[in-house]
Amino acid sequence: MIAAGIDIGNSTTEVMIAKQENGKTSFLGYASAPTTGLKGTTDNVAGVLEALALAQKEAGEITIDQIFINETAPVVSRLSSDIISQTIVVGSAMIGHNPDTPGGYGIGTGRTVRLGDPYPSKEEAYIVVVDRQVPFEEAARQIQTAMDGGTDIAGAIVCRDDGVLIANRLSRNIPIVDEVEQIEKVPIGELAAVEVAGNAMAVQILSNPYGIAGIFGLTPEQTKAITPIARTLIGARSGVVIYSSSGEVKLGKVDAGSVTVIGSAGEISVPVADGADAVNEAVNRQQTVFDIRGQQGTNAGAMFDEVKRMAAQRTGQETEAVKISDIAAVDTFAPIKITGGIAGEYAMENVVLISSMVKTSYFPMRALAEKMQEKTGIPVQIAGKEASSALLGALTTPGVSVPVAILDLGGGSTDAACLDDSGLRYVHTAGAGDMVTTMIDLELALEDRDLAELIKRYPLAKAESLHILRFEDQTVKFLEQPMPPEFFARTLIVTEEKLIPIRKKGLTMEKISLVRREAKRKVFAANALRALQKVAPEGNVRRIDFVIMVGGSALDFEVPDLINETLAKYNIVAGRGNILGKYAARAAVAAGLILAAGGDMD
Amino acid sequence: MDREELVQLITKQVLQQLGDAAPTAQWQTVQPQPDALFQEGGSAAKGVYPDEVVIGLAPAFGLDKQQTICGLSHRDVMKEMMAGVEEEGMKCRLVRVHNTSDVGFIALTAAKYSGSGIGIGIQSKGTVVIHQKDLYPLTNLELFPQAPLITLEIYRKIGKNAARYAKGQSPEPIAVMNDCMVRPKFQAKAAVMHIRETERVRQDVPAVSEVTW
Repeated sequence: MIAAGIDIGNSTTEVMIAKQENGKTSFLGYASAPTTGLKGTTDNVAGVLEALALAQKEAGEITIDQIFINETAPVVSRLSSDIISQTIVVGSAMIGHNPDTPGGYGIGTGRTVRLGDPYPSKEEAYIVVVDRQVPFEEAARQIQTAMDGGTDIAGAIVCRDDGVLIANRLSRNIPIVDEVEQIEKVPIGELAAVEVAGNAMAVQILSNPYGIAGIFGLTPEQTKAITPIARTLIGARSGVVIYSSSGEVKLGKVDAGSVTVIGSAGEISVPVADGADAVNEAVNRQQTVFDIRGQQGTNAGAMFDEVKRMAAQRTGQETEAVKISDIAAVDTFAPIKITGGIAGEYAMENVVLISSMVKTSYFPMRALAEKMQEKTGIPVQIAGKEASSALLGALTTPGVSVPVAILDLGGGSTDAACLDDSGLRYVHTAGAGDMVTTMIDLELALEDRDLAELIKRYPLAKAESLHILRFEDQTVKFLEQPMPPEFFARTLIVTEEKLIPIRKKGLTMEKISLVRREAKRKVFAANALRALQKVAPEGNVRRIDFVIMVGGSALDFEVPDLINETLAKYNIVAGRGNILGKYAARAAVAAGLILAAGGDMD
Repeated sequence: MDREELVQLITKQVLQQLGDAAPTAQWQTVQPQPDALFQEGGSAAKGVYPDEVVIGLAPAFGLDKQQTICGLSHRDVMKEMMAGVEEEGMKCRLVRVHNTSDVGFIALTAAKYSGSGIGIGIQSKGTVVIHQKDLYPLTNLELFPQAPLITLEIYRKIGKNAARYAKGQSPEPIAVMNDCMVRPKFQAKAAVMHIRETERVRQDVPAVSEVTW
């Protein structure tokens, strides 16, 4: 009998063709094509036919007698992000601001005075405030005149992007912070401190609460109150703190609602604002999770409702009958504009990202099977759970034996299955590739999911000249043909076919690759371990000898290495699946389907 | 009447309207006025310092009518562009290109004379191109073709961007206005200004000369 195993995944459809005779199986051909439509629906047939035709071409002159398709993992997943901190400036106490090109360097303190107004006293130092309409030459001239007249000018706050221009025209160095959009909001006659750090440095004094306390002579009570100001200035290249009695910076927690985990240990509620660890802890304390609910009227509540509605739609169940089986939370941050800021300042606010997952009883696979049978004229049989097929397929990887576990690293869920003497255990856990994409999108403030997806998948390079590409690992490639001019001096995403320039300002290659790696580490390293713990013999990961990584994210250029690093501590051999010794990890299920139908490998 | 004749006729009428129908021969012999923006020097040397951006001036820039097509003074335009380069911590050097009035070639020449390999070309009417020394003449890093829509703020940003290219930092895309009526509205004036520029082209002197502000 000639059989075809077909695995319909979220992004690709895999087909494996094999001949089964006298209990022996020999594999003839394999192909893969993009999945058409939503996984598990009759729209998939087009993709199946394409992959089938390709595999048949490889297999040669054959007639397929039987098709096996898998019972797809009945998982629906959804992401939500909740901002849980918020910086609010009341009055105008602070400009923690990162203009590209501030002028001068060092720190200066004095009383704010508008340029052009008289300086009240020669005894005091002044911080000059330069309005939008003053040209840089005029500003520099007036400041120089005041300096020459013996007035102590300690620094300047400038509206336009003129910091370097003014600094270059003065006889003495003073720190100048520029690009302060709403300069009219800067209070006049108040004590202020301006700090500009050198290249590759961050402000040192204004980001230190005791530094600010020293400058303004604050009491311990007042020092406590200005701590949020210092915190928002950490990492900034320049900053201004104005000590006005009415001004205040509040660093508040946002009420993001709570999550209630219902399980064998009863109901455990935890506020989302307590962070990802608290949320994950609530899930882990339950031996078995029955359902998870979010507080109504909050982001969390809306997300859980949405995922239940999606699952209900796809299975034809009642929404009330759908239960959430797992969630995974990760702490991240996003640059958010500070409310009440005067230079368009940003603060890195804390964000909790939650991935939730619904296990439904089944997908309407029967309809899909019937449609396939009608189109191909070949009998179609739904065979086996995805987890067991994947395991059977993965076991064809040379150098593997029982006890073995597979890690299926997907887009929406991280699945694990383990086979040992006592049998097969498997689990679907929330949190995978899509979560990484969202983290990249948030942390780099891209607001472009497609770009975030590309950044996740591919390494970076920079066009140092039109003929020189420097990659993120510092290797260099010289090109024979010059690159298009629009790539010049830009960070590029290096895909198999082409280079894609990243146009957003301020995103250096180093910053992007750091964020990308950290996102993968936070999501996959933690989740892989969690999933393995659930299926390991007696819950002990050390009892597993071999871990085989399959699924789309196992093809990632750095995720397997990150997971390997984590698992090395537990003395586990981990690696990408090498199906039948020659196919990529994603062929595992298709091969497993045929093996499950009968017959050892030839 | 064929097209060429029509263009000639219109050009003539526009010239008359401008009240400035002097014979062309005279323009060529006009010496820089005493209030010239720049001091013209001898032939220019290629730069060796990587912290410079070279601005290449078209043959007539700052000489006859010291205004761009939309009436910005050449002095202000240069001041803003140079300020943009300076604000980014780079230096600016000026040269005049004598052998062409094509802004792409002027910019490329400036780039080839620039120690950083980045040059800016500017025509009297205000059209600007940022160029890099390894590019083909008809390509460019950035082109600002609709001179009537370029404001002083944009000239500042052009200077900043050129400096950022020279430093190897990714520049910020510059938002420019787009107006489909600009072409018909300014076509004749642009043609006249370009003709004047072209009439100043000289092949009998060294192609690139030093200019000081």
